[in-house]
Amino acid sequence: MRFILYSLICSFFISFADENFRARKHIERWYKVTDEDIRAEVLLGREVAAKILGKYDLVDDEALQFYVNKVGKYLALYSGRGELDFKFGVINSKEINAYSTPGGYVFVTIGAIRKMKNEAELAGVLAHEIGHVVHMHVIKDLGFKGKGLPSSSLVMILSGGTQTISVTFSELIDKATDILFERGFRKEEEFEADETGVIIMAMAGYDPKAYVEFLKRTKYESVTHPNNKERVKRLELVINELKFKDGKRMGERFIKNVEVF
Amino acid sequence: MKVLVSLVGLIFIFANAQTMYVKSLKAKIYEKPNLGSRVVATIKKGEKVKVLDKKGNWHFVKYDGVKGWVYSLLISPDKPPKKVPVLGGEKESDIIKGRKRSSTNITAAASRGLTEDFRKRKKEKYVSNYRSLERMESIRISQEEIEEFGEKLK
Repeated sequence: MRFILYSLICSFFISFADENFRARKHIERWYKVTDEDIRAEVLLGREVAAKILGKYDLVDDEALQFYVNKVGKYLALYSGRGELDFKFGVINSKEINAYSTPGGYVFVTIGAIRKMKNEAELAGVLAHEIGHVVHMHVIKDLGFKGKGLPSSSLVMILSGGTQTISVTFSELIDKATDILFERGFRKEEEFEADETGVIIMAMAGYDPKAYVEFLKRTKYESVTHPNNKERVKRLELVINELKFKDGKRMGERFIKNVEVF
Repeated sequence: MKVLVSLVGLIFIFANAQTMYVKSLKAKIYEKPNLGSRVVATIKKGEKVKVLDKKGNWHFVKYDGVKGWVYSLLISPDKPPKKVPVLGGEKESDIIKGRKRSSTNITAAASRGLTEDFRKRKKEKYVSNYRSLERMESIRISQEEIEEFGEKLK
């Protein structure tokens, strides 16, 4: 009986499938999240964040750090991960780049901020990084997959609950840092973070086109953020599909708060 | 036949409207399944919605008499977990306790011969900077300040 009902539901959705529905991974992968899962995720992310700061220190500008945190925390309201306390930091690097670690630690380089023209561009870069956190890309790339929350297996490692896993927590931190500094995310993960990012920034009230303009203008590419042209093309499709209008750019507030020009 | 199957499916779905929870701190309910349509309500984390339909990455929901579309990323079938405590330095948080527990267990694992590579390791590949991390974590912005900051974007 249950099978029949499921078949009926499937038939229903197939028959009413939106023609414009693109073949992409659905973002609604709901996991039963436990407090332990989240603690494990934050614990790993915090250590990786310390490694990022070991390579690039925070820019010594309290006002700028506060401003970037305000933009980031405002965006995080619409991220879907209300259990995390997102933290944002501007780091000392001339490169145009940004990083995020599990648990909600997000970094943007001063080099990237210098190339921005308005708050919406900053919001786009931060929202893209929030997107990686939302989809737990680092944790998935470490090989934690399965039926449940990816970080559930991480909890098992942290609690020593399995004898078959021979990696240590320190090795995990290094591997996660490798993903951010050397290997980069997979192409599909970048697209997923881009898509989620523009949706978050649009829901927050920013103009998502500003992010695309930033990508185009800076040709924002690095080992960890490749395929600029392809990303721009896909983002334009997504933005068009969202039908979002009247987004703000907040140029004046940005200039007032970012005195690095 | 296709119409009949769809009708039965529709009846089934409405009869079993699923309750879901807002897992985002905030979620806007839109008149149509796109971000360009009118916002009919804004709801907060933990609030319940009845799911009536689904289209792509959007759910058609009912909340407090209002019907509209919410982006799937922001809701979940499970009650959302509580906010994770931040490491503030005032007192030992649950996370630190967790780390200590984990370290103890990792040490125990090492004695079982599971961390041979780790013991051979002379130095870490990357250096950690906890001082700056704590500086970053010490930035506190109240919910009111964040809300006020977002006012200009409305």
